[in-house]
Amino acid sequence: MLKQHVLLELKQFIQAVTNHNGNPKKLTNSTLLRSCFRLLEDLPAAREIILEYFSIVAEVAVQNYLANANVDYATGLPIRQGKQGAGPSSSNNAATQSTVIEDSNWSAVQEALENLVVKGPSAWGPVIASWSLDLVGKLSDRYTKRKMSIVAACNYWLNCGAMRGLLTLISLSFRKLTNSEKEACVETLLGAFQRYSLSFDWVVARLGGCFPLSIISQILQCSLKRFSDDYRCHFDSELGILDYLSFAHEQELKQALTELLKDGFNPKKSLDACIIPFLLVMATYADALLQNLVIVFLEMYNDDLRNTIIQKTPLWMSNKVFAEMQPSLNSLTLRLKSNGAHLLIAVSQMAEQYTWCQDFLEYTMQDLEQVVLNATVCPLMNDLATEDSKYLLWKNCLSANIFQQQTAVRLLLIVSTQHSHIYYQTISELLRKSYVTNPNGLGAVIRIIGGQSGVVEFPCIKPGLQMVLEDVLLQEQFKHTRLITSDQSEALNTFKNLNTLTKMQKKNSFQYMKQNLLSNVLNDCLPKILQILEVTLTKVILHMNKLAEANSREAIKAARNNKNVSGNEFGSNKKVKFGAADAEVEAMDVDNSDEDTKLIIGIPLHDSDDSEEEEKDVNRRILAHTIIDLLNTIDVGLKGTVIRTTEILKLSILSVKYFFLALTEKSSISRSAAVNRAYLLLSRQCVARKAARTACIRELVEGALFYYGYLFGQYDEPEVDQLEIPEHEMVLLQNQRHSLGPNANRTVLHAGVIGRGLRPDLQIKEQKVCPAEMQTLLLKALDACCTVADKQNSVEGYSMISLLLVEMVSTDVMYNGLPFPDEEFTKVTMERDLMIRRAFSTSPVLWALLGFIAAHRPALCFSSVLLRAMCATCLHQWRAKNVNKFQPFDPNDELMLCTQKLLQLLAMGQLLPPPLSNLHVIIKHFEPPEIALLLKECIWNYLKDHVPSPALFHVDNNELHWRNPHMSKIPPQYVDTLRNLMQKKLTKLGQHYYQMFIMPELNEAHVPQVGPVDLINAEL
Amino acid sequence: MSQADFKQTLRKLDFPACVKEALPRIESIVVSRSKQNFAIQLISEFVFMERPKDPVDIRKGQTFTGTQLNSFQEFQLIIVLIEYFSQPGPDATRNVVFLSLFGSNLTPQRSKILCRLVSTAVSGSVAPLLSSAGTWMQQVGCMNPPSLEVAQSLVSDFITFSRKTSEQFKQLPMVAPHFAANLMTTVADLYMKEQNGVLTPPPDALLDVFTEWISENHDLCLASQQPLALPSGAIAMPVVTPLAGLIRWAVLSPMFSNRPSYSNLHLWLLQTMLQIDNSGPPTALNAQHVAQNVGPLQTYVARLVADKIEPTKDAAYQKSVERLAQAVQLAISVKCMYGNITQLLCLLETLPPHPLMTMVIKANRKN
Repeated sequence: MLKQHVLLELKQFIQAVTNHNGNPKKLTNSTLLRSCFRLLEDLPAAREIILEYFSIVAEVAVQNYLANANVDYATGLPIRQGKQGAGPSSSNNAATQSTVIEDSNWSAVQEALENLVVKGPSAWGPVIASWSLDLVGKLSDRYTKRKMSIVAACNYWLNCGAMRGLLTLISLSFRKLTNSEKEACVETLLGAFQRYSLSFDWVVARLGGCFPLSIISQILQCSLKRFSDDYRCHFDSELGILDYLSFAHEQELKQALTELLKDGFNPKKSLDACIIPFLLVMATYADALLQNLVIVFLEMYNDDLRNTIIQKTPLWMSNKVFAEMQPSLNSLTLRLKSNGAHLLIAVSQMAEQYTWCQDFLEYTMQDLEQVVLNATVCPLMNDLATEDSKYLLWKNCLSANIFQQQTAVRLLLIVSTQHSHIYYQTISELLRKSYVTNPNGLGAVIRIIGGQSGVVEFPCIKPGLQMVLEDVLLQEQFKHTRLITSDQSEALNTFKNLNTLTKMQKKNSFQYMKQNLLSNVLNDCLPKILQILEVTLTKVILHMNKLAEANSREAIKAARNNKNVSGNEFGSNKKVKFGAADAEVEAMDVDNSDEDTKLIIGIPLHDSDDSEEEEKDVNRRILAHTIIDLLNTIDVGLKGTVIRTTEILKLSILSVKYFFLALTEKSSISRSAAVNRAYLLLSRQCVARKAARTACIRELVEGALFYYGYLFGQYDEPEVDQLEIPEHEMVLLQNQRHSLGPNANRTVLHAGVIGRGLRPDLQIKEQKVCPAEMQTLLLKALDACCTVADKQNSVEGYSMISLLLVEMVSTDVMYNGLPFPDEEFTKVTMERDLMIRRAFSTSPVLWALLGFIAAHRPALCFSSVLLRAMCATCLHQWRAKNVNKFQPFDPNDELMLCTQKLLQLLAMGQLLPPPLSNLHVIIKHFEPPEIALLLKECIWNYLKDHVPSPALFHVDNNELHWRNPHMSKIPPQYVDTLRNLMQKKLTKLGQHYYQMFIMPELNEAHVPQVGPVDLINAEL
Repeated sequence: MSQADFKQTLRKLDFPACVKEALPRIESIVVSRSKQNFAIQLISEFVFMERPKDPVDIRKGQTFTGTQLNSFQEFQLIIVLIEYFSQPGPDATRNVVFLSLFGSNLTPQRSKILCRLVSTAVSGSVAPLLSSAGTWMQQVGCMNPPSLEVAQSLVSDFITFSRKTSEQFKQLPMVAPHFAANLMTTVADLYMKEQNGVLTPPPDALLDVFTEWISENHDLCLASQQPLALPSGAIAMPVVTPLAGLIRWAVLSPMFSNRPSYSNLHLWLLQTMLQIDNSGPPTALNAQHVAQNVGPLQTYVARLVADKIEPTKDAAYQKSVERLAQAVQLAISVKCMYGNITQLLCLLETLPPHPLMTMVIKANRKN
């Protein structure tokens, strides 16, 4: 019964299948399918025809799919009804909802077969796999109407249920295969591929994912074989598959390539000799292959390999294609998407040794330049523009190997044409890094700054310089936030480099670049440079001030101690205690303010070490010198350049700051060098701009008097609470004391506090003097500011100094005019006059300044108020000595010196005509009452009647201001007192008397005509 | 009807029909043992649809020139053949027709059809056809390529590709004992044979089936010794029983697996030999065939020595030699072995000494 059944079933099945009359659609009914499954179970011999029947089912399913599918052939995705031509967005939608067209018959078949593969004996695996492969190949071959890309074909066919099912079956069975069977399957697959190469590539690509490595290497091997037979053959499908597989299986591709390359470099078979040419040819066609090949090669590359290559080259050259390879190698290089820079640098590394490398590089460069000139793009260009390449190239710019360096530089230049930011960054990087790390970099900078010749819109160097300056600025400002390992800061490098470059450019030793370009650009970047300079100077000066403060505090302390030890008349316990507290308060104050500034400026709080700080200071100083040098080199502030007012002022301020800084240089050589730099800078800007001069002079004077007074022997008076109000005293009581008016015992005057006697004079008795060198240097600086090149004698600057002195020294806004009032009136201004006098004694440099302006007549006139104050105070003090009992006379008394200096000044400024101009020489021979008399009668009265004003002075032929002594004959009432006093002391002063009174008269008698003639000339 | 006329008539028929028509004519020609050439032509042209040799026919442009039968047509042919062979009639006639259809020189296509035909017959339990196939195997030679091919295809159909062994295959000894015996002989030759130094063990399912066959039909191994139904004058080829091959399986198996089935197989083989009627000359076992065991054993010993293992300490080897000694002793004692026994004993002596084997050799050398 049973056996009959099987045979009967077979018979019916065969009949049904063979009698379809050429219409296979009749065959796909479910009864037939059912009997089919039974036969598959019971009649193993029939499995082949059953599989054949299944093929028909699949084919019918595919036909149905084709009849219904409406597919866009470009993407392989179905076009949805009603939304045709809606643009790419619709295709995206379609992709997300993939509409697989299923076929019920096929689904049953697929289920049965899957069952067999998964649960049945393993023997089914290969059978079903190869059957499915063959079927897929046949079907896609038969029903592919037009050539599609691999991706499109995948999309297209996978929407068909049967095809998808077959692929599922294949991968299911592949999973169950042993290794040897897999190999066989790959063979089958490739066999099918060779048979249906045009329409089968998508299957290989798709299934390649199951065993990518073997597929990839097999395909490479097969192609290699074909290549060795005929090197002109095409590999479209193979390349397509490799391309497709390389997306997901880059590792395997690399592995396969590595193995192939290894064989190629160590050829064992004759076929191996073709490998290298073959890979190169393949790479010309497929990007995926090219990129991976390069990556793999670079991984393998080392010196040994290079030797191997050199050794093996003849072998490859014997291949027909390899001889014509070089031009295409260049075009290959242009197509590199990654590692391009790496590769070219690797070539350049050995260029010294092998000329062909030079040729290769040259060709590549020319190609690249051509690309740039045509304003097109190529992958290599994009690769060069990546961060990695950039860093690599920068590193190589510093290389000692000239080829390597030049290659890197040229590449950077080329890539800069299209990516200007790289140009800027490169300039910035090289300027910052190259100076100390490697002087080779300087050459690179020169070349880079020169730009790419022949390119129209090559980026300007200005942004690059701005970038580097900005970087440096940030670095200087926030140094503590960065970890700085090298001793030499990048800022210093940068400015040293810029200095060198500008100097070279000035000498015109620099063919690549337009002259003055760099200095013009740097001039444009002035604000940034100034900012950097400001930061640096601020820090240095802060340090300088700190040291000075510490010094002066020491000095005060020492003085105080001396005093306490020596004389105990003042030394009550209270005082000492008070003083100490005061010092403490002061110290705290300083600390606080210091900390604030530090926070603002960015110096790290709590510096670890003094020596470290010292070292940093030295470095900053070097930086400052370098920057100033640069500013001089680029002729900053020259007449004719455009600078904004803020920059003008800033530059002036900074120049002056630098000047003061220069004064504190330790070695005299560096000091004079620095000072000379400052002079150059100052005079250049002052000549060019009035505003600059005003600012410079003001800064210099102000600095000398206040901020940097310590440089010029200024004595800082410690601030003392003069009132000494006990803490427990009630405010009510205090107010009661004040209510008594200006004579109350809390009224503070210059000389002291009423009721307490004179101000305790802590001042060190030894006379404060201004250090001569500093003084000279300061005066020279002022001179540099005041001198006007074209006008030989310009009073303007000196007058300004004079006016500034008045402004700064005189505490009052009133009574600052030129005229000397009645002597009585000095009582009104006495307090102010005393303050002025005090200023002169604490800042001895004031004398020097007055002397300086006295030499440039008539500038001293404007300081009349100062002279008046000195004169008035001296007069009163000499008088006071007169009133008191006789005091032993000390020729070095401060009062005497002051009087002498005053008289000398007046004489120098020609405010006192002869013979009064000689008074300062003889004044020390008089008694105090006599001196008081002389000051009153001769000096004060003369000046009161002859107001010291510029009107007294004439301009002579040489444009010099002077007062003709012959013209301004001094009336006798001002001289007679002196004459009488001198006559009394004729024994001592005889010589002087002759000189002052007799000799001029004699001269006058001899040449009476000279004066008027001179006057006439002057008036003309 | 003349030969040409007959051909013309047949040519007017469609494919399966012409076979049906041709077969009786072929039968009559073959049985009459005349005009053999014409029978061969008919078989070629109208049964297997091979390219007609007549130039005339080429001129007429026959549709099937050069085209082979496709798979479906093959099965149509198979169905016709099964139907033909199922018809009642003398065994000898059927055997002769079978032998003429599938002579010893088979084209690949015919051999493929033969394999499928036999396989289908097994599935359908078509006893007459199977018995003819058994005869064919013996006449062609059980150890010869055509038989091996048929056996191979049956094994793959019923063992390799089946999820479970089919009932029809299990019952084969009942349906066609002669065929089953010959099949065992041939299949035994497929496995455990040293090829390129590799011994392939039989699939487990196959072993189980064979063990079952032998255990349930004690004289199955001797079924091939049944006389063949051949027309008068035909010469029956010598019989090779499956005993030698299966003994090889049992002997060599310890080196691969310790499945109990092999012990079972060994037991039933010994049992079978015990049943041999030792009245006539020994026919069941060829000493040369038994000697084939020595080669693989020596290879195995060599491997053991290479691995520095004493062969006498290796359990598998001991078991193998023991089984061989038992089989030899039994075969000699029931006198079912023919051929050069002395040479076999000498060969056995070259193996590393084994107590039982030494005793067997000693005992039989005296005689």
